[in-house]
Amino acid sequence: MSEKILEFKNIKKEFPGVKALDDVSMDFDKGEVVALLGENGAGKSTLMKVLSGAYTRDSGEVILDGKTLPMQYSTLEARGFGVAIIYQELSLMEEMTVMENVYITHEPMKIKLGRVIDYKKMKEDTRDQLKKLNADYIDPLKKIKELALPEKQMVEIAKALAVDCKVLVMDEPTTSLTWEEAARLFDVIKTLKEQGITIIYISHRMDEIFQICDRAIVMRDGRHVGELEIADSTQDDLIHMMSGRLVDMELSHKERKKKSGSPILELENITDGGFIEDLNLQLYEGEVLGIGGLVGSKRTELARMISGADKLAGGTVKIKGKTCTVKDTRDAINNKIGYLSENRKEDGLSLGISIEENTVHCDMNAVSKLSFINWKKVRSISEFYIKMLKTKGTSPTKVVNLSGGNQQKVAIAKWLHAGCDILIFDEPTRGIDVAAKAEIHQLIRDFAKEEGRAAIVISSEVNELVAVSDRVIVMSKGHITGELEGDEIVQSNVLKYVTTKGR
Amino acid sequence: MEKANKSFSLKRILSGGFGTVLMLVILMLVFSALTPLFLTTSNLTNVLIQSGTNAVISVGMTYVIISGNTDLSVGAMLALASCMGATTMVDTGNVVLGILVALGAGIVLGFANGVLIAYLKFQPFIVTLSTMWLFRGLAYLYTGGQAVTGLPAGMTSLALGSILYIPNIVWIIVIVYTICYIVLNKTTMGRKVCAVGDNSESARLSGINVKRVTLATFVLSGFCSALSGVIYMARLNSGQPIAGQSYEMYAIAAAVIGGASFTKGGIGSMGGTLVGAIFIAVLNNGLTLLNVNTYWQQVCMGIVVLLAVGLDRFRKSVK
Repeated sequence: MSEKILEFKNIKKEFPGVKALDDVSMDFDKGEVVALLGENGAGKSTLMKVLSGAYTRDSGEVILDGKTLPMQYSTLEARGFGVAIIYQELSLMEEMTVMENVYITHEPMKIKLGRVIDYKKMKEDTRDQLKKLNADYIDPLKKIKELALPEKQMVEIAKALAVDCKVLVMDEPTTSLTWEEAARLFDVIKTLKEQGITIIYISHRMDEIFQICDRAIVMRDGRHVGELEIADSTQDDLIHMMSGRLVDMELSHKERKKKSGSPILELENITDGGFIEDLNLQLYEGEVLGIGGLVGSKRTELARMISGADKLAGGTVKIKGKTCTVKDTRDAINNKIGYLSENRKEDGLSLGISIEENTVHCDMNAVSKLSFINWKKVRSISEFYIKMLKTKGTSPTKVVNLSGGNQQKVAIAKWLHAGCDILIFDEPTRGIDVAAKAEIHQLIRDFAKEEGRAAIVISSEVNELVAVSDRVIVMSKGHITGELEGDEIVQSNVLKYVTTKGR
Repeated sequence: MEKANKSFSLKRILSGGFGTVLMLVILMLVFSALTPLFLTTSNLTNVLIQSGTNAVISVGMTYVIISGNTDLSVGAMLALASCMGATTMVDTGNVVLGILVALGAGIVLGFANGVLIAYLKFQPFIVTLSTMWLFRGLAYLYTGGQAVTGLPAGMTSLALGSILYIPNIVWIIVIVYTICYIVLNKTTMGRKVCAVGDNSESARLSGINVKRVTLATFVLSGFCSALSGVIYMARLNSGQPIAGQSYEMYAIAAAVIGGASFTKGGIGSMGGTLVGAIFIAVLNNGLTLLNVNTYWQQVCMGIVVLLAVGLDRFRKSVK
């Protein structure tokens, strides 16, 4: 009855050391809304990038509307095939007008040969496209930077539709939207569906998926692991399918430390002037506190504020009962709080500099006298951490030449050397293989066990939170929406909190 | 097979730190073959002395470039600082006081650049482009557009004199480079400059005071420009408001020929910059000895810098 619009057949894609897509097959019907689920690194975005032409597949077939797509094509060509992707961070030209964005690379021409643009037609066409989305309140002549976020999203959709779109991929479109704005987006999705456009919807929010999707496909470790018809399943079915493994990584309940004693870090009425408002949180000595949440939950923003990376708009931070004013990161380190950034490449490491020097970056005073560096000492510290973390590389190796996992180990070594009592690990095992993950989890637990210390782990991977935490809190749009302790911390519980508890 | 092997070893030589030295040696061999005047002790000493002003400015410039910025105002700082020093000398007859005033002025000017860039977050290129005109204009206003002449005799002997048979100017170069080499490679300050240049955000999150480090590099650049101004003043025995025009370009060229990267911070070395500065001096000296006219000298300069940048890219592609 239904007509297949898109098929993936045995798609394989390998990056150095990682099988990003391992024999993935799936298909999509015309006019269907399909949720694509899976944790970070499950292969969802790799698959979508293969579809959009951003990546070239190693092998396998992509069949769109009965035609096999060539092995290699550009993102521009993909747009011509009828594939459009709307990324979380929208890809519009802020300084250009709505209509220019909608028709970029497909501008209507007045004179074909001279590439003279027909702006009049462009304006009218843009208006038509927006009308189809019930978004004709957007002026085609406005600059993108003057629009609010949901309007920008509408422009992105209009841009997709401007070039006969068959498959539209939306990557977590609602993370930065309010509930009303999201509801309006869902209406648009329904309209598109009626027009026969297939929508691949990437999201972690259960309620949304059950509201708008017809089917859900779950991916894990670069494989297609199962699918469900939404109409005949419950949220629990889906959570079960997503979580069913890695029991070996879970801590036994006995190992989890109960919160006790006085808190080592107290956050009172923390405010960032935006989403985070009057947030209160305690961290107890000896514990590893996991913070779960989706993209847009403001966990990273919270961590950056208490570690001095960003300005604290309001509230007090107490360390071991003493109120501290943390002006900048230097202050934070002096107060023994450290923050391991989630982006090692952007702001976590100096890539062009050696392992040994990166290792001592947070505390150069410890390796110098009268500001003269004792390179012998630097070398021995670096060797110590290389051995401890089993980093593959020698002290003088430039960090840029290491694999992602080994770079992460250098970043961790740097913070271990900083001499902090409280370390915040933001996505500590992103892009790291499973064996190394377990090692890093153990390391974090060992760190927190020592006297006068504690750790916070921010992770988007539920099984990671389950594997390292003594206690888990869940955040959503700047608020703490749940707390789990002791034997409550199992994958299905955490997943339920993360995906359904919201405001 | 053998050929492949040979090109591989050539690649290795060029890809190492010796690429610039090799270029310098080749250049010197070429000039020695073309003119007997080139390879004499007196000429080579002369080359070193001639490289002095540029070599000293390039030290500060290298620090600024390593930290990921650029300083176009060095030539103007040289002029303004040396004019202030010269006037002080003429007024007081005190050489030491004059030198101190010049150096102090350089520090203050560099500090102004640094505050604008590090603390007020202005674009380094635009700030130093503006202060280049500003300082130059001030130098003209300060002197009324005239050279400041009648410096005390001590100044000339600074330029012409020598200690232990080595000319004073060469001593200055050696001392400045040695100190700045040690600071860059052996102290926390130097390593912080590299860290900031490589990834300033990572440096900030590691607790490094990025603003202070940036400020320090500009202060050093101001100081080096002023010191270079003192050398200039001594050699010409006067303070010149037009001094140091387009010196910023020579300083950038010296740093880049020496392996510093103009686009990506964190890369560069004192040794490389010294070789770069000498290279430029040798080139100018050799071409002058060969009676090549100044127009052609400029063409050669352009080609050489392009070659140096090409070598830099080649070096990276080998790695």
